[in-house]
Parts: sequence; C-alpha cells; structure tokens
Amino acid sequence: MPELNDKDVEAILRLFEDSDFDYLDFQHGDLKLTVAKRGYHPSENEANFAGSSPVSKMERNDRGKVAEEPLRFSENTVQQESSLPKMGSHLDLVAVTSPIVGTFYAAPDPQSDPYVTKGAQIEMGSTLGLVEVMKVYTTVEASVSGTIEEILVSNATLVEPGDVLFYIKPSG
Amino acid sequence: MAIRRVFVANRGEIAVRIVRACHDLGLEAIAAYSEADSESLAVRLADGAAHVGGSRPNESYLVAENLVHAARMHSCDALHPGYGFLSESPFLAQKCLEAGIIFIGPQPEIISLMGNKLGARAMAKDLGLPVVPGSPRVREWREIKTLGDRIGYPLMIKAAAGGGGRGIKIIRKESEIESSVIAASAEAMAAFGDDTLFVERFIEDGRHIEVQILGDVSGCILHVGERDCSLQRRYQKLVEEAPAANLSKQLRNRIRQSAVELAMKVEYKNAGTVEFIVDQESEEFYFLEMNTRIQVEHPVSELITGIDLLQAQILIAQGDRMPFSQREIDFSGHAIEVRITAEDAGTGFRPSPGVISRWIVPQGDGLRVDTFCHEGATVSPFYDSLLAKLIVHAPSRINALMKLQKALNEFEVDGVTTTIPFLRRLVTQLDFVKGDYNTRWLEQNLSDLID
Repeated sequence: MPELNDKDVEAILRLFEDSDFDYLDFQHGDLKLTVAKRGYHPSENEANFAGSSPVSKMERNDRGKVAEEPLRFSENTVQQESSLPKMGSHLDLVAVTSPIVGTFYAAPDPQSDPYVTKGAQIEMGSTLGLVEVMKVYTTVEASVSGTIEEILVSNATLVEPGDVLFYIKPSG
Repeated sequence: MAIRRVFVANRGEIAVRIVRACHDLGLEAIAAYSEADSESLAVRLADGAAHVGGSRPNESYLVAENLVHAARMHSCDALHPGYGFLSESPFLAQKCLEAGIIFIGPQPEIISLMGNKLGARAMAKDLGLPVVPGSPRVREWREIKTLGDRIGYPLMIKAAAGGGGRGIKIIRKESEIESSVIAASAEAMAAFGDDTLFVERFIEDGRHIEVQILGDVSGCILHVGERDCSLQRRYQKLVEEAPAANLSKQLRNRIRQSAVELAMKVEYKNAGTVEFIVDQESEEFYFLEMNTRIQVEHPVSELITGIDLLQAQILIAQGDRMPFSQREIDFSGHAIEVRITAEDAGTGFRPSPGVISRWIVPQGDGLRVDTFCHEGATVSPFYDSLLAKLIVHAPSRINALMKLQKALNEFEVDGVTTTIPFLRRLVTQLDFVKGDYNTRWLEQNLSDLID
C-alpha cells in the first residue's frame, strides 16, 4: 500500500470540511482517523462497525435518527437533590440534604462567619453551605424560604449524598 | 552534595513518577502518605513510607513542618514537592533549607517573587518582556473605567494571589464593571485570603503557550521547547501538546528566547515554566506568569526531547552541571497528553470518587500512561480528580492524533465515572484535528461535546 503522508491527510480534511458530512471515519492500512463536526458521535454499535470495517466511510448526521437528546450542560451548583423538599421526622419541616459525597463547609473560609445559624431567616435559593469534593465546591441552597430550625452537621465533616444537613421551617 | 535518599512530599501520579525517577538514578525514595493514601502505589513502590497526617490535605500534604520532620526522621537528604500542595511554598523551601535538606526546586526568594502574579508581572515588564496591557493593581472600580476608556474592552480582572481560575471575571462593557469587581474580590478573598485584583485586556483569540526551562547552579539556562495548553475548561488544562501546532518558526523562537532571558535575569535554578498568551490575530505574545515547579504536562516535553525532566531536577538540585547544551537538545516528532479525571462530563464535570473495579490501559509503541491507579485502587474524595495522563508520541502531529484516538478507545475504567468518553469525542473534533483552537474553544464547544 502506498505511504500516506501528512499532505494527503490535510487534503482529506479539507474535502471533509467543505462537505455536508458531519462524520468521517478514515482508515488506511493500520492507520485510522476519526473526525467529527459539531460534537457528532456515532452510537456505540455504529462505532464498533466502523472499527471493524476495512474501508473508509462517511456518515451523514441525520439528527432525527440520533436517539439521545443532548443533555443540557449544568454548572456545579447542583440543585436536583438538595432542593427537593424531603420530609423527615419533623413533619412541618423541609430537609436540605447533601447532593454529593464530600466535606461540608458552613462558611466560605475559616475566617468568615457561617452562611447561616440556627434561627436565621433565609430566602429560597440562599446559600446554606458548601460541599467540597476533589477541590470542586458545590453550593447547598435553600429549597424554600423560611427559618433554619436545625443544623445537623458541623463544619468540615464528611457527608454522604442524602444526608440531612438542615431543617427549614417554611414561612407562610 | 550527592543526594542518596529523596523524600516524596506529594501523592497520586506525580508521587509515583518521582519514586521511579529516583530509582532510575539509583537513589532511594521515601513516600509521604496521608491516612487515605496508606496503600497507595507510590507507598508500595518506594523504599520506605512516612505517615504525615490525616486524609485532609491541610492535615498532611499541606503541613510543611510534618513533611520536613518526616524527611529528617527518614534521613532523607532531599525533598521533592511535586506539583500542587506546597510545591510553590517558599515556606516549605525555607524549612528544608533550615533542616539541611535539599529542596528540589528553585530558591525560596524566586518562589516568593513568582508566587505573586503582580510582582512577577511588574518584574517581567522591567526586564523588557511584553505583558498584556492593563493595570497592575486596582484599588477602586472607577479605575477600571478609566482603563477601559484607554485600552478598550473586553477586560479581564484577576486575583493577584490567584490560581486555578478563581477570582477571574470578564468585563465586556462598562456597566459590568462594578458587579464583576465585587464578585471577583469576594471570590479572591474566600479562596486566597487576599482580595487584591489586577486588570488586563482580555485576549479573545489567544493560545496558551508555555516554555519549559532548566537552570543549573553554574547559571546555565536551557529551554526544552514549548507546550500548547490552550484546551482549558475554567482555566484548568485538559489537553497539552508539544511542540505547539500552527506557530511560525520565528514566533516560536522569539517566545522560547524570551523565556530563557527571563530565567537568566532571575538566575533561575531547577525546572520552571514560563507561560505566555499568544494573540492569534496580531501574532503578539505576552508574559502571563512563571511556575516554579514541575508541571502536570511535563511528559510531552520529555517525549519530544528524550530528556527526563524529573531526573534533571534531582541532578540539578544536587549541584550537577547540565549534562547537555541547548544545541544538543534534539526536538523530534509530536506529543499529545490528555488528562483523564474522575469526573462526569455530562453533569457539569461532577467529581466521582470511588473504587476502581476495572482498569485496562492501552499499550504500544509511543504510548505512555502516568498514573497511580489500578484495579482495586480507591479514588479518594479528599484530593483532586486526576486519575491518569495518557501521552502519545509519533513522528507527526497527525500520527500522534491517530495513536491518541486508538489509545482512548482502548482505555477502559469502571467503578468511577471518568472523562474518557468526553475525551474520545473531543479528540475527533475537526478543529482539534486541524490544530485550530484557542483558549476559549472548549468552553464555546462544550455543549456539543456532552450528551
């Protein structure tokens, strides 16, 4: 088989770039290069098929046929679990739980006062604390407006997902 | 003084790397370990191990006294700080000096000087290096308005004591100044205990290019080429390559030369990295900062030159002259590194600690994996999420890319969620394949890359 040089690859890339195709799986001898536009990625089965195929092939991205809808990218402020009002033994209270495993911090830094203390009035969305795991800080937010009835964790303790951190007495 | 036993004051993959470099030089290594790391790979490979405190970094790897004390108890004559933790702490370097232990890194004064970005920037400017137009210190938000009127928008505010992207805000128009300054100073105060800010022009189409430097006791300064680290998410690097693609020969030489000049003027000793931002529109480059430690991405420079930077660090620290001259450094081929982390790209890169139940690493010619992981290893919630660095080397960039794609497809990890699927997709993107990207490319294309 004739050698494939970088100029050839550049020419192929230019062809692909100018084409309507979104995905290129190119193979020459034992050299294989995959190129995609706009994040296009074949499903697992297609990828395996392409991997075993001895010829180069192009695939048109028919977005209608892609099963998975792209998920919306969410930032590190995780609300899903912590914002779900959970009823503990305290029937009239809303529990705020840790969204992840990590170290709970009651204050933004050791010199500062804690975000909240018992009895504090808080608004929905207020920061109640931070959970740090692997240097990434996740904000624990109040899921409802009200009063902090109970704080169940002390500063710098390890918490697990679902651990109740605060009980809030909802206002109104 | 010849070093015989090195204290490894770090953890994770870099601790393993340091232990191996010591063994390659015929030296002994003593691994520091925290509660959580008592069964780590570095501990197992080392000739001895020293418990330095609790699992939290501030109980162990961040306690200089514990580290130096342990190094003395184990009769170590040198200490390697790795990266992160106390690697850029002049206090640790000073404590080593006082204890008669060689600190494998530059002089404490240089660590201090470069540690403050404002000081480093002012010094670079004095030495005639180009710096991004801006204001060295902001006392009041109205000063930024004056600056904006003079040099235009967008502007970037940064924490003087900064690092890791915290305390950085972009100002696109005058009305955003006040709120950005308030947010940035609060963040800087929380992260670094110092709310000093500085402002500079924000370069929209920039590449992050950094030059690897080595300096010995005789004053000899060499560069080991540059690396392109433009693919970043929140100012954290994900992919690094050497040499930088799409740089003209002339610009490349000017950047390398500037780094050498800076290191010469401060009489730099040991390994360091001078970071620049290259404005792709104007072909101008500007000094950003100097890192006074070994970098995570050092392997790409090693692969294109055949120089073992960790070994070089140790030899330089014991007073050896540089074993090669600049002319003898031969740059060959292209190397690319990707950082594999325990994070779930689909949920905003949420960290994923756990126990590794399956660990299948690609192998082959021109492939290197630097890691502390193995089947059964625990990825602790106490430390950063880097699991492994996959590095490829080939005669040309396109060949390196093919190798990288193949290797990522073969890499299998279970037990923790990793960024491997995300990286597989990233390295097939046309812009990346062409080497056509800047420091903002990843953020701008992130939503396309996640599903």
